[in-house]
Amino acid sequence: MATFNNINFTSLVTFNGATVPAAPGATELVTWDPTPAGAAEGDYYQMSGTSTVYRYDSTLGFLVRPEIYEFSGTKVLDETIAGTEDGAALTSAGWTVSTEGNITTSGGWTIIDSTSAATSASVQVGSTANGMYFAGYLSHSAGPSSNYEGSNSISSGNGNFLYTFSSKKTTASTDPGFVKTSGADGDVKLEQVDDFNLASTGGEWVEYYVISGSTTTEQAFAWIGHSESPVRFCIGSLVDSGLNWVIGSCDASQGGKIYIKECYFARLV
Amino acid sequence: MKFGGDITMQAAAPGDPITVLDSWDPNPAGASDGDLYSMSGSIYCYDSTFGCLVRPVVYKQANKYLEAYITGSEPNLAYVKANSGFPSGGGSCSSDGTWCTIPAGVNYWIKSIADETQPALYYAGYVKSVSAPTSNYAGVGTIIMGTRTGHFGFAARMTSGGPDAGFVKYTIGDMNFQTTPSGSTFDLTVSDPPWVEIYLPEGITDSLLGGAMAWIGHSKIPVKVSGKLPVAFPTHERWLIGDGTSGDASIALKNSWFMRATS
Repeated sequence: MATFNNINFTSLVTFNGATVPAAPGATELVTWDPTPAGAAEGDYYQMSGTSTVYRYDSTLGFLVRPEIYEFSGTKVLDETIAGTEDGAALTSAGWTVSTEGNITTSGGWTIIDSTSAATSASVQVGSTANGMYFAGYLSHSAGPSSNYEGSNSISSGNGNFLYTFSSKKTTASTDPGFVKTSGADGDVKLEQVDDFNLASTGGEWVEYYVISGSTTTEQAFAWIGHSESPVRFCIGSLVDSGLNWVIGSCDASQGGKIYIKECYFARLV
Repeated sequence: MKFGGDITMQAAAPGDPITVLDSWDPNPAGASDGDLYSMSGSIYCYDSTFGCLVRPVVYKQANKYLEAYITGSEPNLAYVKANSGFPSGGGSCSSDGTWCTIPAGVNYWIKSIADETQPALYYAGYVKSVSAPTSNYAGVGTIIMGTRTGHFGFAARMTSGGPDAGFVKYTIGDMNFQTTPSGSTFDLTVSDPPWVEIYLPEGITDSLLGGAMAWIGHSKIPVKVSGKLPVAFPTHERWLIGDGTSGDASIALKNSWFMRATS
């Protein structure tokens, strides 16, 4: 907290013309904001109600996990999706969109609807074995039509595997996580029970990190709802040579519908 | 305008200070409960119940208990049983004044957790491989988080080949998933090994799909993740350190906290 003549402030920059010293340490966020006003490179933020700490990365332009911030190589922000984009807007932004009319916007969420036809948007990025970091709000609406398919998912292809994070993995459970698609689970749970439900109001802030340099085995962690530690670890992905981000139906399956907003698609080279 | 005393403007809650550590100190001078520290880019919280820095996922738990603590100077098994939080054990151990060594053979410490099911378990400390296992991936030379549905064992050295540490099944078998680039090795055979943390989330055995995780050398991400669990101990949860059930290996410990927590 900044202090000026024994008066404590948290957001004032100047007072009666005098500069108020910058607040040290972690700033608590009562509501999540991946791009808090005034954030400077390396600043610490802590999500209220959790012990989870983030850092502002000026290269990527949003709050990231410390493990991402500290990455020693090059960080690249490939794409963002605010939630106001429809299929035409994604096409204009460089995404390759299938069934453009099935991607709409509510004004706050971009909705990818594969309930009547497999619908996706993809963008080609990077080179083999890049690390990849996704962060954004996901809200589940429909699907899957069968267990562990990819019609309601976000996927990252790093040239070795297609890592697929499903907003709901099976027909019976609300649980999200990694799927291998083709009917195969791809998860190890690093928390106790199926206690996540992305269909809840507002969805959840989801982050996943495909580790840079992974070549022979799948290596990706996921955090959900600002969890302090990873809650999912990927042990099963399709062997795939693609270099891409895919949203919606990553495997041409039909039945899913997801809402996304404030999404960041970043790469660690 | 004049103010008569300290005034706090209504706004977002204040942030906690973060202290960046250049060298590791698990209980830094002046630390207060909840204080944030950073080491090698990893975030820790000072936990006054445990009396040491822990990962945020451990700090956030509501009910926390320090089960055992090993300084490294414990001279023998009788002392460990009487003073260190491991009331049961077998065989022997000794100290050079800095490291407490559990020799190869059937030598072990046990702390049973009789009255609670499926708590989170967290180890933080220095553990060193003194000698390799005589059988690869044997549950020997280990720090085991035993549950009623499975044992998660962290071996300071998993095989007689490379020095890599990681999770092994009890009584024998590899149970790691690789979480770092191919070929990565975490060597605890060196004289000054890195800080090790092992964590089993609360209730992990409910689904039979969960895993334990380990951070080594203040790694930012867990560098070891265990697979599904094998042998259970049906009576209660427990810490089991050392062991010699299916082969021989020797480990040494110092500055080691053995912790339990529930939400």
